Order: sequence, then structure tokens, then C-alpha cells
Amino acid sequence: MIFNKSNLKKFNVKSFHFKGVVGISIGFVLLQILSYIISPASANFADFANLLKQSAGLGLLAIGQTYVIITGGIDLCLGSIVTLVHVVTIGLMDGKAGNIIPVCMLGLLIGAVAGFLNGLGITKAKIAPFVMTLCTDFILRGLIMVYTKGQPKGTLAEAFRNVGRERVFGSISVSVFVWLFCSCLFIFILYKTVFGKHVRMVGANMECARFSGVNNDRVLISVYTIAGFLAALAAIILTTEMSATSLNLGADYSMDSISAVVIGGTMFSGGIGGVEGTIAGTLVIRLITSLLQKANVVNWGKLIIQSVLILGVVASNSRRKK
Amino acid sequence: MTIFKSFNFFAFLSKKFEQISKKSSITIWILLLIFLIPVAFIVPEFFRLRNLNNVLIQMAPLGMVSIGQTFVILGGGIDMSVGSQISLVSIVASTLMTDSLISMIGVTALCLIMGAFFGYINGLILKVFPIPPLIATLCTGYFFQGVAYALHQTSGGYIPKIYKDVFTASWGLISVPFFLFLLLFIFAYVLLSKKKLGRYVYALGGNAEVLDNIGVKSPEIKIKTYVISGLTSALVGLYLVAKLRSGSSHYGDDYTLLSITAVIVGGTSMAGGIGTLSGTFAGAILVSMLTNVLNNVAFRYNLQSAYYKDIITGLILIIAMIFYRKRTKK
Amino acid sequence: MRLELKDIIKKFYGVTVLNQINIEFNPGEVHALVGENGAGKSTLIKIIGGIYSLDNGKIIINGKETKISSASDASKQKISIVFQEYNLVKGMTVIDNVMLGKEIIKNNGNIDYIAEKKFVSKIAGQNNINIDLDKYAEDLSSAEAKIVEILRACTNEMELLILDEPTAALDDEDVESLFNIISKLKKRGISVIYITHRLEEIFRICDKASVLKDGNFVGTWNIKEIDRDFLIKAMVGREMEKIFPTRNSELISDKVILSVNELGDGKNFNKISFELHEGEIFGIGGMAGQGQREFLRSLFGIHKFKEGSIQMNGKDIDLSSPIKAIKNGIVFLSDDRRNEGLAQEQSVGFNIAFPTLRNRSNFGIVNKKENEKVINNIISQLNVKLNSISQPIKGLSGGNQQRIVIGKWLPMHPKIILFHEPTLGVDVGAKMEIYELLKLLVAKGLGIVIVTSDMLELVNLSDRIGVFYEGKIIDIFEGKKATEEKIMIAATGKSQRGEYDNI
Repeated sequence: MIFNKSNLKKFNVKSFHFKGVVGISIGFVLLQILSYIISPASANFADFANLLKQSAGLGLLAIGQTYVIITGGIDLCLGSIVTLVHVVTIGLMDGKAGNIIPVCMLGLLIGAVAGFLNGLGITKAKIAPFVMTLCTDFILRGLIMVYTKGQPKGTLAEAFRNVGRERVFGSISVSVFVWLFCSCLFIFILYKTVFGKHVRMVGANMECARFSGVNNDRVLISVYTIAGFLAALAAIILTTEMSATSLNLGADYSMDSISAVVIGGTMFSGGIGGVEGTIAGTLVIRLITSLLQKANVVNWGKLIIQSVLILGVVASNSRRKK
Repeated sequence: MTIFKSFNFFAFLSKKFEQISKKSSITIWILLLIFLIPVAFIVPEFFRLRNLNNVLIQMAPLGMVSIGQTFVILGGGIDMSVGSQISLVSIVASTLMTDSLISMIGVTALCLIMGAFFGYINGLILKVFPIPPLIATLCTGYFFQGVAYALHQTSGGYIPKIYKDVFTASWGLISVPFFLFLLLFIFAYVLLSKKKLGRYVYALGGNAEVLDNIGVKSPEIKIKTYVISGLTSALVGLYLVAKLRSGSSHYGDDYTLLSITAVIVGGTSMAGGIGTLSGTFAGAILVSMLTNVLNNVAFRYNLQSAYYKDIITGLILIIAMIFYRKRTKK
Repeated sequence: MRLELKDIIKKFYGVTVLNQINIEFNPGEVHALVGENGAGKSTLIKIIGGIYSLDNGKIIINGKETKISSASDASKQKISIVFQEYNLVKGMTVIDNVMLGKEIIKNNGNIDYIAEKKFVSKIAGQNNINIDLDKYAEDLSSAEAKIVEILRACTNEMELLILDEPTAALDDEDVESLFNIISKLKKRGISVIYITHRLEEIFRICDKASVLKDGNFVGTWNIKEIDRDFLIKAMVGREMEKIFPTRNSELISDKVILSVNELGDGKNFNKISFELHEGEIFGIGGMAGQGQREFLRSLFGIHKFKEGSIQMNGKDIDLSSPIKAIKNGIVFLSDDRRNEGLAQEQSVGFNIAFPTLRNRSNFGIVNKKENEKVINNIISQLNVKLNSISQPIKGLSGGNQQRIVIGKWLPMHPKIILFHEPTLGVDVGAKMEIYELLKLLVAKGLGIVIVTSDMLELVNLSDRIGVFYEGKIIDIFEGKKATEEKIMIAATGKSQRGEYDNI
């Protein structure tokens, strides 16, 4: 596609992004059809509902990652936040229903604080986002080790686990509901609020944002705090559906969230993209995971396919833009 | 009056120090020595010959891969794929190696070529697509990790005992691993300071346009830095597989962050163009020494301090970035 | 070497930037190339240096027609350029920088430092250059850095040296050292092309001078046969196109809305004082790099100043950040549309609405209808031509983009507009409309400070003009009484009081 002035005039920012979202959604549908062909037994609603359920945690996390990448940054510690909040939640709840609310509040606070510290390091200490979040990742992993000493303990309260068994509107699990609700909320924020537009401008042109009176530092700190908070929320939601502690819970989430966001149309260069694309991206990633599970090649197939996908998307965008 | 003069003198000294420390790695070596003082008080057994030998042996792999990372960062880039390269090489080596001498030599050579090839891929991607090195090497890193998982079918593979013996021999304070590191260090030092390539790497990181104005192709220099990084990663993969006599897709996990930490703590600027190998040397000692010190503390005081290693490492990098930032702020 | 430029024509996107340039450069001669900002000097030397291609005409070297299609071609022809921009690697020493790309290698593959030092010292001696070869580039002063770049040029076999504003950041002593070097080069028979805006230097060191004006070649003269005033007349003096609105001095009230007192940042500008009145357009002119840019930015909090104070309507105000400046009703329009002025990839609507979103939002949520109304209002009022408000703003012409740069601030009713290069990259039609718009705005009581390198704009649009020279306002003129010549005289260092200001 030759980008000269006359072509550009017919070109529409919203439609570019819209096309991206449509594109990835079509990709998802095709992939879904492919999976039905491979295993016809799965062509039913229960299976689809299950896919949604599997995607909820990642989807929630990826909302925060979307905001971070729109500002031109990256967050590599989200997976560790998930694991940490997960073990702390189980460890402190001690089976008592009365503990549920305070423990969850604490978990959310941990996520928010981790994100907040990331934001501080990036804005005030001027540390590059990938370095800062990589350090936080290491520190969080260390904290997990210190807290659990390798042997996570604790039990969940029954009431808590019941939340994981609840269904909303018939067959939608609580986790999916929370995911979709948050997605809609954050789509709304990004497109309709002053804050959302500030987030976009900071990613699109930081100097222009600054000269327009935006407090860039505040915006960035907020974005990373939100990402941390959502990761903690994802951890809590995931934990309601689990029966045992897993030290590996967050292991893949950092990478998966980046994949989901990037193939959903949000670009590393900043300013372009949105959560609606990430929803589709999340579903695609999870579908790929489940297909790979059926083929029994999950751990390596996932990494290879996702790395090629991300690189492919970024590389083709990079040649096209300029 | 004399107070004023001595204040001036002090200011003069610290400015001179700042100037020297920018070009050389004096700061970090001094910091390292200063750090040894509390260590001497808290865990004096650190200085026992056997322990010191352990420290040097432990720092060798990190030191080697950090040398490669230094080249990349000096050139203004970053290599996030070193960890997975190390793991992948360890798997390939342990899968292919047999007892024959030819196999040992051949597989070693093959792995080194592989490492160079991985680095070449990194550099090539960056040459063809204008994307940030972070993203490119993050993706290739994931890719190599995936291949490592795929190949890691059996339980660890096989490495002949003699391979291990050769690679891990040590007497007193002298050990093969550390000696290998020193050899690599000297070789890299000569390359960086006495060969054309060294100058071009500094120029690439400092002001890449200058290279283009002269007619030197900066993408080619970039590729070379990543190839060097790939070679050092392969070397470390070979060493680890020799030491443990088995391969694993997790050997390299921490090395990416650790190598970056060693390089930054050692005074090399993330932006490129400023830094020294000697600094990375000190940085690698500092970072790998941490485990040893924490283990000694745990042993002596019956604390569970070993778990704090990751936390402290992360904090060290953050502090190093803040500290060195003041240097470039002017 | 003898370099002849015959009938050189160069166009960029259909716009002719160099029109029939004919100049001769002779060996052993220092030849000044003079002209205003934008006259075409940079373009011309880039053509000689192989960085740009010429569209028409010939380059003749020592009698032979030569094609120079790349920087290495130029090197082969023994042409060297020292640009204005910093071209050294800070983390390397002088000798490393000088020998970058032409290192001397020993048999064993190592760099032969001793041979390099010997070689460079010899060249330095030959050309009266005195510099510590082991110093790191980042520790060099701007003068020393310039000298190192010249040294680097000298180490290439060179017969023609082009110097682009070599004395831009130098003080008198350094300029002397530079002149010493140039004299030596002259004696060795090397041709030098010397671009500068400091006219007194031309009369000290140059043998000939050629003047470019708006891409046209005005003429070449022997320095001995002309004087400063002659050069200035040659550089300026145009037919005024009827694009400027008529001046109406009744608009300007006595009320002072902005008062700047002895403002200085210790480096680029100092002791700047002036007053901006309601309804006034105050134009700041002068050659590029005299401190105007930093000064304007310090009024918006994006450049820090160290001394002095600013008052608005008589009261001291704090302008230490853009947020504070905007609160006080001051807005800043950058000269760099691409990197600071607009978010190029975002839609027109997004860019227009952005600075004033809060005005149309409740509890942080933007009112879509109101927002769109305002956007459409601005587009129609300012006559912006586009296809849809959702198209990326980079698809708009420069003139339309600039309309938006101004328009996006209007809903905020700013009191003072700081405008850097109001019509950079803007076609004539849009220029007219922008000037009309600015006049309309001051009629409503705004005060506008413009910094511009466009002489006509400066003279015809401003009610008062302050000319910057070496970090100070050297003169203030009444707009009515200003002429291009007067401005140019001031811009080259001579104040109306008849003194050369060389501080």
C-alpha cells in the first residue's frame, strides 16, 4: 500500500484501529473453526464457555498491559504480581470467611503498590520501563520465596471458593464477568474520559502532551498502578477457581499479556490501540494454548508461536508506518 | 581561609574523580572493596581460600556472558535472549555429546557456531526492521526458549565425565572456569581497545550518525556485537552443561537480568557509548558474590537469608541506574 | 582545487530552493557564503558534499565536469565538510575521533596508536592546530570540538574545506585560533568555503563573498571592494508581497500584560527585559541560535532560567512548568510540529480537542456532542481543509496543520500566545490566513510574542521588534519604522547606537 498524500486523506485513524480489531477477531473465528475441525466434539457452548473462563485471568491482566503499552512502555512483572498475590491470599486467609475481605484488600493493595513503585522508578528515577519492571519482577519473585520458603501454605475459606463456583446470568463464571466488566470499563475510560485521552497522548507524543498541560508523571504512575492492581485482581479471581496453591501461577502471564495486547493491535510505538483488540487477542492466545494442549506441545509450541507472532506484527507495522 | 581552601581542594578532587571514573571503572572497584569491609566483619569465613575459590568459580559464567552483553549495550542495544541461548546450547550439547573425543570437540565447536548464529539472527532482524532491540531480542529469547523446551525431551542428556573434569578443575585459587573467564576477558579487552571494531562499537553507541557519515555501515557493527554476545552465551551454556553433566531448559533463566545488572553496575551506560569491560568484571563479581555472602550469613547465623538474593539483586540494579544517571545528567 | 558551480538548480517536492547558482571557488581562497536563514546555503553545500543530488547544472572541478552522488564521492574528490551539528563521539578521545574510519593498523591487527599520534600531530602542526590528543571528546569545549572536527577534515587529503557556521558557539579567543588555522590552510593552497552570519568575520578572514537570497544567486565580490552595508543590502531588500494585513496601532493598549525583567539562564541568554502590551504582536528576530529559542521556552516553563523575574499584570508569576503557564493563560506553539506540536499519527479531532478537554467534561467524562461541536467550529472558523476529523493529522498540509496548532488553544481563551515560527512549512495562502487570524486575536486583547526567522514576516507583522544577538536584545524597533536592512544590521551585531556589540 503506497502511502502518499491522497491515500492518507482517505485513511481514518479510527478505521485503522477498527480494521485491526476486526482482523484479529476474524483470526479468532478462523482459529476457532480450525479447532472444531480438529476436534468436532468441542463444537458446543460449554466448551466455548470454558475457553472464556480460561481467558478471564489473562484478559484482566492484559487490560493493564494494554494501557502500559499505549503509553509506550512495557510491564514485565505482572506475572509475579499474580503469583505473589495468589500465595499471600491463600496464606493469610487461613480458611476463615471473615478474612476474605481484608485479605483481598491486602492483595489488591500489594498489586497497586508494586505498580505504583514501578511508576515512580520510571518517572522520577527515569529508569527505562523494561529495566524497572524487570527489577520489580525479580524482587517480587524474591518476596515470594521469602514468604513461602518454597512451600506455600494456607487454605481458602469455603465462601471464597464458592465465588469461583458461582455463575452469573446462567453459565457465565464470575471471573469472566469481572473480566468483561473491567474491559468495558477500561474501554470506556480510554475513549471517553479526559484521563484516557491523556494516556493516549502521552504514548503518541510525550512532548505534545506536556506542552498541552498534562502531568505526564502522574499519568504514567497511574497507568502502572492500574496494571498492578488489575494483575492482583486477576490473581484473586483465579484463586477463587483453584483448589491448590501454585507457585507457577503467574509464570506465563507476562509474556502472554504482551502477546495478547500486541496481536490485538496495540503498538509498542505508543498512542495506538485499545482494550477491545486485547479482548480478541486474549481469546486467540488462549485458543492457541488449548489447541497446543490437545496436540500435547504446550510449553514449547506456545513460546515459539507467540514469539513469531509478536515479531511478525511488530516488524510489519514498523515497515509500514514510515 | 584554610577551610575554604580545603573545601575547594575537595571539590577539585571530587571533580577529578568524577572525570576519571567516567572513563575507567575505578568507582565500582572501589565500591567492591568497600563492600568487602562489612563482609569481613560479618562473615570472616568468606575470605577462606576455599570460599574465595568458590566465589571466583561462581562468577565465571556470569562474567563471561556479561562480557558479551557489554559489547551489545556499549553499541546502544540490549540482548534479552542470552538466558535462553544458554539453556538451548546446554540442551543441544547434552543431547549430542558422546564419549568420543571427536564428539566432544565437534559438539563444542557446533555449539559455539550456534551461539554465533543466534547472535547473527538478532543482528539481522534489527538490520532489516526498524524495531527496538528490546522487543526483537525479547521475541528471539522467547523463541529460543521454546526450542529449548521442545528439545528437552529426555532427562538431561549425557555429558562425559572427562568433559566435566577438564572444565571444572581447580587447585587452590586457580580454577579452569575462572581462568577461562580471564582468557575471554583479555581477548575481549584487546578487541575493544586495540582493534578497529572496538572504536566502532563505542561510536555506534555514542553517536551512530558519525559512522554513517564516514561510510562505516552501522548495522554491520551491530550484528557483530550480537554475534559476540551469542558466542559468550554459548560458552556459558557449554560450561554449565559440563559442570552439571546435564542440560536443562532452565539453566539460563536468571542470566539475562543478571548480565544486564553486572554491566550496568559496572558503569556501562544503558544508552551506549560509555563503559568499560573492567567495570563489568567488577559488577559480575559483586552480583555473583551476593549468593555466596548470603549463604555464608545463613550458615553462620542460622537465617534464611538465601531467599533474599533476588530481592537484593533487583534493588542493586535500580540503585545503580539512579546512581549512574546522576553522572550523565551534568 | 578550483570548483565551479554552473547553473545549479535544486527542487524539493516541486519547490525550487536553489535557482541557477553560479559560483567559482579558487585554491588558496577563503570564500564566504552569505545569506539569511533559508537562503539556500545549507542546501548548496550539501550538494557539493554529495549528500543531496542536484536537479540541474554542473559541478566542475579543476576544469573537469564531475558527478558527486555520495559523501564518499565527495571525499574522493578531496572535499571535506565541517557541519554545524556536533559530529564527535563523546565517549572516545580526540585521536580516536579523528582517526575514526581511517585507523592505522599494525601487522597483528591492532591499532597503531603511536603511528596515529605521529600522523595526527604532524597534520596538526602543519595547520597551526593545538589540541590535546588524549582528551575525551565530552570534556572538550565547543571551540575545541570544532577544532577537532577541522583536524579530522585535515587528516583526509583535502583540497576544499567547507565550514558551516564554525564560530557559532565560540568566543573571541577561540575565533582567533580558528583564524590561525584557516590562514595556514590558505597558505597551503586549500580552498575554504566559509558560511557565517557574523559579517565582521568575513571582512577579517575572507577574500571573496557570495550572496544567496531566497535561493537565488545575487553575486560574488572581492571583499576589498565592498563593505558591510553593501552585503546587507544584497542579502535583503525584497518586494513586499501583499500578504500582510494592515497595521492598526490603535489596537495596542497601554496596559502591560507581560513584563520580563533581566531574565537570564546563564548560558544562552541574559538580562532580557521587555514588556508586552495588550493587543500587541511583539516579534523577536535575529540569526538562528542567538538565544531566542531558549528565551521563548523559558516563558512557558520548558527551559529553566536562573535570574530575573516575570510579571503578569503587575504581579510576579511562577512559570516553572507548562501546567503553571497554561493556568496563567500563556500558551506555547512550538516550531517543531512533528515532535512537539501535534501527535502525527492521531486523528485531527483528537489533536484539536486535546488541550481543552476539561472544558467539555463532567467528572472527567468528555461530553461527546459538545466536543464535536467545538472541533467542527474550529475547523470551519479556521478554514481547515480535510476529509474527515478522524483522519490522521499527518495527512494534512503544513498550512492546515498550523491552523490546528493555533486553533486547538482557542477554546481556552489564552491571554498570551508564544509562537515559534508561525509559518514554517506553510504555503502562501495559509500564511495570509494565519496572519489575519493573529491580527484578529490581538484585536480581542491578546498579546502575542513571535520568534521568527522569516524577515518579511518579522518586519510586517510585528508591532514592535526585538532583535536577539548573542543572548541579548540588541535593539528594539517600532514595527512601522523597521526595515529589513535595519533588522539585518542589528542581527549582525550592530546596534542602532552605532556600536558593535561583541559581548
